[in-house]
Amino acid sequence: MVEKQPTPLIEIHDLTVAYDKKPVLWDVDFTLPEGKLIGIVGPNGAGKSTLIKAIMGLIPMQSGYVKLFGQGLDKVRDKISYVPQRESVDWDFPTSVLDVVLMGRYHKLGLFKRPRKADKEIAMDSLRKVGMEAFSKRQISKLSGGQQQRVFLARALAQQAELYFMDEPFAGVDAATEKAIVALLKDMVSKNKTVIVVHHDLQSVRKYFDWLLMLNTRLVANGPVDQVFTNEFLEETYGGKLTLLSEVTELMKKEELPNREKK
Amino acid sequence: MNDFIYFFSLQDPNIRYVVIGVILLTASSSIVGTFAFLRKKSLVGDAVAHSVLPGVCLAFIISGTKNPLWLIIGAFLTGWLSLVLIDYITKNSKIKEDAAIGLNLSVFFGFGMLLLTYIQHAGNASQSGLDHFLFGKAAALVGDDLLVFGAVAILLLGLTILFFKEFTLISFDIHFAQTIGVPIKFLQLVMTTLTVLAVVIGIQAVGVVLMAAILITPAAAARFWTENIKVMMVLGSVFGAISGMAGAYISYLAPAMPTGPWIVVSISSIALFSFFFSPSRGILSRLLKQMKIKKRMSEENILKALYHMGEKDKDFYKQRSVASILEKRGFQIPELKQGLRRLKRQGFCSSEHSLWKLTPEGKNKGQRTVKLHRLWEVYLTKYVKIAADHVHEDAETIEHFLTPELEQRLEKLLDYPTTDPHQSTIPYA
Repeated sequence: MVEKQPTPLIEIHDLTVAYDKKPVLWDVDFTLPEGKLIGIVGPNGAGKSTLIKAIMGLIPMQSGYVKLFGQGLDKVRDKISYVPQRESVDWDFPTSVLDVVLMGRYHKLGLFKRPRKADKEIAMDSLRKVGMEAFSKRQISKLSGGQQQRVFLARALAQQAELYFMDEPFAGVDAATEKAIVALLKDMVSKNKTVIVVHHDLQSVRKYFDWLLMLNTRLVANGPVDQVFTNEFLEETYGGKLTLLSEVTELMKKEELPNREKK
Repeated sequence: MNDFIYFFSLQDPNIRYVVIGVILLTASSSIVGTFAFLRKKSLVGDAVAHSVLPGVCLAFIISGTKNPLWLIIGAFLTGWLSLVLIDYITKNSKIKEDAAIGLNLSVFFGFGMLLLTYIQHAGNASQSGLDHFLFGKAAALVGDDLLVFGAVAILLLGLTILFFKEFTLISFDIHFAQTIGVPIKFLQLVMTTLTVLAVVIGIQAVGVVLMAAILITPAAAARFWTENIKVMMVLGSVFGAISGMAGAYISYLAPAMPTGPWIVVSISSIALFSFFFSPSRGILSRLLKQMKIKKRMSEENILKALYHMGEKDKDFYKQRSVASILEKRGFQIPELKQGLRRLKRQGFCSSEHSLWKLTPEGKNKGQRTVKLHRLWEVYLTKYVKIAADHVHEDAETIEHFLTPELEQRLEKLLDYPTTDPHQSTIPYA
């Protein structure tokens, strides 16, 4: 079931992404609405992180296009924030919590310029919202997993974006942090921000999200949670890969076939 | 001593050239090296260093002179080509970065050695000294070299300050940098260029073989002393400069001693010292911390044993012999005796005629350890669902680490249980 929206905030058309010639996402088409808390679920290797990385231009697409706010990514970067997986960086980096959060202001500063007082105030305010203001001077190497995730979230808040992509923000965080983050995300959505979250835990899907994208190399379902979070779609998403499809992707890797014929 | 004053007063122009030269070289390469180190690209410096040799030789063959500017241009070109190749191989083949680096390093260096041998046998009189690029010859620096080095050092420093914010961002979180529209391709190119430049001028002092040491070691040493990237950079270049001067001074005292290798020995000694003695990250401080914890644990274990004995005899303040304590719990004898002496100094025990007894403070402390032990056992069986016969060993460790805050939460969560899973009473204060 694929629901079309009248004014899509995000429009993905015929997106195909491959690692090492093997397609991870195949012909994915969807649109997403504004002002919702949107979850992306699917089994391991379904292409959840790959999807948001491709949307953010971090990995090349074999085909298709992405439109955000009706435009190409480069025109609307200022309105978009991306929160990478916590483990994607080395937290033993010689810098402080505040300095990391200030990185969320760099796009407003441009090259060469140093953060201004206003930027520092925004950064401190963002830290307050995630309950980490007392840690602003702390070295990031001394943070716990939950605190690291909060710092990343504060950096995203400091960007003052309209649309947020978060790659597994609940992975490896304590229960208190998870609760705090969910409350924060719901608050952001109530202010008409859109938050898209790669999520692992099916138990909490109904409680957390308004809208759900179910993925397993291809798009299985996209729509309001109460309509798509059904046994039928869950089975289709998690009930093993389509055998023929996965055999063909393996073959493409082995034979090094091009994903799309060059025109 | 006179030598020392003469050397560091820099009256002698030759000494002046050498000292200023090596300081410029080592300090600027450690600044660039800081980012290479933080981006985990330490080996890249080594690859560049080895790859500049064919460039130097080619430049000499084409220009016929040893003009430093020509040689630097040649070195720059092949050094840079090598980095581009490493990148290309990593992206477009199944060869991983470490193998690509090894491959490039040996091919370029081998080709360079070939050219060098060719030049040495071609009979060009002005070639003598070209082999200094292998191991460096800081002691032969002259005024003209300083001009070139100075210019390159200023360029390196200037660009680093200019792009400091972006370089730091890229080193920490390159994906995030990319999503906010930072021109990462361009900045990576600038970083690569800076690394090549630093290597190209650095090899004049220490040579291609040892270059990686002055690029990476100062940053690695500085990391032990600070958690601030700016301080790290300054400290690294100070370490670099100190070892540069030390190398120059040693080879001045003993002219047979080569400057470059001594620079590397000095910076390595600084790094080794940092590795052992840094207060936060050094091995020694970690060992000391572990010893302290071990001491504390054995003290608490002694108090616990005395408390247990008191519990059994219904008399906490009875005098006890070392032998009877050993019967209760298998301490090492020296561990027990030293622990008891420490506890006496701290006021938790008292002794008379080699008989020991708890003070009221000691009884409280022992009681708290016992309480924590038993509470943790209850928690493990009730909440973590671990069988009662498995929980004792876990509680033996945890009892020493629970903070008062966790203790309170534990009491509340379990609602002040009266007995542990082995039916021993949990003593509340």
